[in-house]
Amino acid sequence: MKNILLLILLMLAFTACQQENNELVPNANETIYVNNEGASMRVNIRGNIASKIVMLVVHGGPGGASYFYRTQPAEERLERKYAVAYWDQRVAGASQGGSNKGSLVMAQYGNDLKKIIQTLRYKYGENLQVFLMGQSWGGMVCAQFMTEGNNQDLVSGWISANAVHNWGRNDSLSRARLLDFGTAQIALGKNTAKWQEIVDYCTANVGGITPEISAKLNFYAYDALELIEGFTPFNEDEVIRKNLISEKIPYTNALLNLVNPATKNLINDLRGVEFSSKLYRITKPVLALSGNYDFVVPEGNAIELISKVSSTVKERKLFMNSGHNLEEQGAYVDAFIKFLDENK
Amino acid sequence: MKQLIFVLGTLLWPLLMEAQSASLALPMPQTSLKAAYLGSFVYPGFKLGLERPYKVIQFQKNKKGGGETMLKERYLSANLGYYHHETFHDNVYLLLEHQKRRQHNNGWFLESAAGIGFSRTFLGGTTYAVSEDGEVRRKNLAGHNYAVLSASFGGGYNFAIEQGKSFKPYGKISLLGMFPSNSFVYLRPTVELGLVCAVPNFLKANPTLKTKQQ
Repeated sequence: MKNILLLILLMLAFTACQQENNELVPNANETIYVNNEGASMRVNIRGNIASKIVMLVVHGGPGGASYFYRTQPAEERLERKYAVAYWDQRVAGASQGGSNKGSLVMAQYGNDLKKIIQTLRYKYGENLQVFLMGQSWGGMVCAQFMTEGNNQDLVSGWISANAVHNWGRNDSLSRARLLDFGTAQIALGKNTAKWQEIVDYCTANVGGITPEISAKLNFYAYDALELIEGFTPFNEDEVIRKNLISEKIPYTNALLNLVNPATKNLINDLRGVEFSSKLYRITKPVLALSGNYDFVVPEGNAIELISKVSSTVKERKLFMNSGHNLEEQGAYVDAFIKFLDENK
Repeated sequence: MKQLIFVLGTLLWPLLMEAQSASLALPMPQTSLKAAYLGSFVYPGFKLGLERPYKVIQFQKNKKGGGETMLKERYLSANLGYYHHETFHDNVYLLLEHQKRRQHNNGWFLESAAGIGFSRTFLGGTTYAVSEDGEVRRKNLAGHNYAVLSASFGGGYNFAIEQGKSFKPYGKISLLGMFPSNSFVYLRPTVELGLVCAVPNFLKANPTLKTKQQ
């Protein structure tokens, strides 16, 4: 009996030691959860955490998932050099919770992001360098975080990839881009019927943008990606299908979070939320990336972001053959690595 | 409290009722224990339970070339389920099910069940909480409580009919609905492969018996 107890104790001690030794490794794959205000948010840390540099993915949505960002170039190039923390925001991806509808407000997302960073630094050391990479709606979360108090002291830089920081203004930018591009396509005789429908809608709705118009513009912005010759939009379903088992994706959870009615209410509440007037507070290095065919969050967002931040290190880059979902995956990943290399 | 007693009384009343005596063409169902492998997608688990018949309807179904005697069996069952989804959660749940089984005279049966219960999940990774002062601490056994509704459908074979053995292998698919999950619902399909075994003289059941012609 004593021998058995000794054996169990030795096994437990060995397991514990293994866990500690695994913390700073060049090929990390660890999942943790951070509890905050009724949500248990999943964070999957991958790659070279021994570098003590991590790019924290702030995904799109609201209600999206971080699974979409672990593409082949990210896995093969970015994770070899640095670590990537794939964070599922509240009511998104594999995150879980009970009755937490009341917490779906912009400020809460900024508070969540702060606590994710504090947890990463607690886990991997206070000298861990964290770079934010916010895409689409993730830009709102990053802007909320970066413009509040001394939060930006917790990070080494911010990559804004096809991201928004002024929800209402983005609708106007989206409409203008659809109108310009659609008119040019009609003149070239390409997909004229569908483009005419889009152009007519944009022309007819030049006044204030209601939630219904905003939703319709968003719908057309995705539709438009299918109309461009020689362009293949990023297939999110394929990423999920390919990684469903290997990444242990809780498919129904991610799907139900995506269509969660509480998230729809949040989107309606975002109409008046903007950070354009607070961007001057940002002094950390900023990289703003855009896709030429991005009608959902057009380049105008990146132009304004770079013009308004006070950072001395700031750069803007346009990817000529990308839409909203970072279609030139390799080129985007190279831009991430270059930014981390230059600002670590 | 009164409401709870009423609900429990309603659920348990059939179990306490004395059965009507009548003759059956097929073996009378008995209180049984069941154990099953539970697979949720590719994630493993198990289910243990007890089923107790409270009502049996024997009926004759007329067919070309002769009729068939069948039983409609009604059960109440209590189950403990568990599955392990690595990096997501471990889920332990208790289910009270109302089960309907149609027993054919060749041994095969079909069944469906609707259930209500309680689930406790345990998150699939070390969990941290951060105070507003920035103090980080680990949370042990972190997870969430949910109410559960379930629906299932399946079938199996009753060895008592032709071979006099008191066990029934079965398989069924279920859908668990857990709520409120992120103020909405979480749906989890499961597949179950198991065995129902009648234990002699264990919580001896006396289901009410009716006969009818179809």
